[in-house]
Amino acid sequence: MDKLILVDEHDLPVGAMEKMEAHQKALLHRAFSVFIFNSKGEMLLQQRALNKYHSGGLWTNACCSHPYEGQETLAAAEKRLREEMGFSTPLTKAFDFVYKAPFDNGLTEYEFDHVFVGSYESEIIPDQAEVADYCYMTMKDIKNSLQSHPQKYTEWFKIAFPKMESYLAAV
Amino acid sequence: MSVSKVIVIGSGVAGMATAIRLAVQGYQVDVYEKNNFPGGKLHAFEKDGFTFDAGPSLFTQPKNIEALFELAGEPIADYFSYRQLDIACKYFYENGKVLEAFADPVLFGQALQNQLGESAAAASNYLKESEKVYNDIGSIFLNHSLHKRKTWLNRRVFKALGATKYGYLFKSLHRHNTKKFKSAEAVQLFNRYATYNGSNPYKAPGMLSLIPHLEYNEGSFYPKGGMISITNALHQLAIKKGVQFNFNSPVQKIINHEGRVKGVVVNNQNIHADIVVSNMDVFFTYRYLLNNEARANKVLKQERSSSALVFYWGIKKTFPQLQLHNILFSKDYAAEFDCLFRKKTLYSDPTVYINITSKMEAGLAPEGKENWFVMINAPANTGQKWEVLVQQARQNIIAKLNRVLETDIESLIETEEILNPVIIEEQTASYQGSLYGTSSNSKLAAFLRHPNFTGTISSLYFCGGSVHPGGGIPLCLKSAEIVSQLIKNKIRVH
Repeated sequence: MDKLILVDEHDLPVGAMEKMEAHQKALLHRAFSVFIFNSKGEMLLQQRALNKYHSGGLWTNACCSHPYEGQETLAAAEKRLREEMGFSTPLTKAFDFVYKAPFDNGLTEYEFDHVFVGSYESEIIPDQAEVADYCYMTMKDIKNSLQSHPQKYTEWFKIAFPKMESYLAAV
Repeated sequence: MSVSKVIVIGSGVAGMATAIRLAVQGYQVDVYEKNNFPGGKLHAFEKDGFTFDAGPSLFTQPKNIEALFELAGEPIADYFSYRQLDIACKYFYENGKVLEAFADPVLFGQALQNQLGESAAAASNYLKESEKVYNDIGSIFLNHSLHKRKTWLNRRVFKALGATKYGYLFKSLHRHNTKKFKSAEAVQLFNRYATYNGSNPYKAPGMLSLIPHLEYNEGSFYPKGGMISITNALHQLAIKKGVQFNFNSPVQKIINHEGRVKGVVVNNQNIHADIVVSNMDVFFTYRYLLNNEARANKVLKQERSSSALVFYWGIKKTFPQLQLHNILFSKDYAAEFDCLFRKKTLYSDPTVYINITSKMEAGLAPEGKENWFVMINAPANTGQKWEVLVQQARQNIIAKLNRVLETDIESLIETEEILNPVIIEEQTASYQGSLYGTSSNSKLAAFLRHPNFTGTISSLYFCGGSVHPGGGIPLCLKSAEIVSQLIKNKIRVH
């Protein structure tokens, strides 16, 4: 079984652990998330498959996962994007942040999250086991929707979206 | 847990606005300022009974200031008041034509029709388009600009702009305006808005035509007490929110340990901070505070905005034909900008701006007299012989004023102070004395300004006119908002 990379608060590796155990013990581990924009500046959102082990059916950014022991984070992000959404595009590191939140199933997400951005607007062939649906939305519409229908989005996305917003405002 | 400490370098408008926002977020904020006064370019001085606003003289978008007071939960009325101008500016042309730019769009249209032979609809159509450009592009321009290393974003914004209207990006403001107006005078009037961020209307893109929207549709205003009231209001608000100001305290160095900011050196002493925000020109920040010549030089690759030459004159007479804001246009605008940006020198028949705050309230000049702020655009300082240029410019300005206002202005000058690009550079740590950071003369320049963070040092941020989104009071205040949001969101940028 592939193991997650446990890290300290500066993202230095301190060990490796099986995914479920790391989430049960709430140990800080390395993670990544990918944000994709089209040429109109709209963000690609995916709806998580209904049977995912958490947050099934909720809307979130293009993809999120963990690099496994021995994997480069960027390469892992590009691979995961290809597997989940069915396309490849060059990604750029934007920023990172530490995120900690308990799920309602007793697990705790405690991640050092590397955020990548990329641009894409051709065909998307998502893996139906992972993704129920997808769409592009403007930042403004997402912001409004997060306020009017917060229950439709992953907890993670509610935290990450304003960070992406503040990042985009500064560059 | 102890409160995180922020040090802000420089008490310009952006530095103070950032300090206020971070104090409201709960940070302990210390501001270090090399001068003995706050405000940077936005300050004032008194001489022989005249009070002069030293720098910026135009106040638009008061909602930006209101937002700070609202955020801080303080009643703005206790600190600051302003009123809208009926006449935004009065224009004088060498051919004897005169135009009052009324705030009221109907009156403005009539004036354009009567004085310049334009159709009244031309102006209202232009301003409607200006509003549309502002709404379409302005938000990208302000909120989603980009920097050169982020090509993905570059492509995105580039395409978004292109999709909006090709001409706004690829045609100059001058070409845009010649399509919209018949008379050379109206074209010149609307070309002038490029100078609001120190750019050249013959080079800068047509999208700068969004600027008139801010002046006409949203209005221009006069702060009671003059522009210095903005500085005083922000200074008092910052103090109220617990910000500590240290004047006469130039920061010598930013302490950077393994890619993370640790504090600053002031007066040869290390002062710890969790976060440092530099309101100093980003070029000087790299060169002097970080000893990073390579990064400093990279910033330099972009052309600097123009500077200014200012004469502060106490005038022993009142001129009822003048307003608060007055422009005496040059005869040949193209030749003037060619001089400023290509030849990097002053033009013999300069466009002269006269600002007279004593028109608005008593006490700023002695009875029967006026406080004139007389400005011409000047090239950024690249080592020109300013003592010679200033004397030439003074003669040229006086000759122009005598001609257009039919007076003998030299005999009416009771007191005088002079500001040139070298002094601007020295006083306000603005590289080459440029007033608005980098220029917008190339089509993407507006999108190539330095971002509000650096990829190499975490917890170091930049605000003010030399970085994104740009120069001038509204954009400086925007940079403060962006920096405070970055800090609030606790993201680490690499």
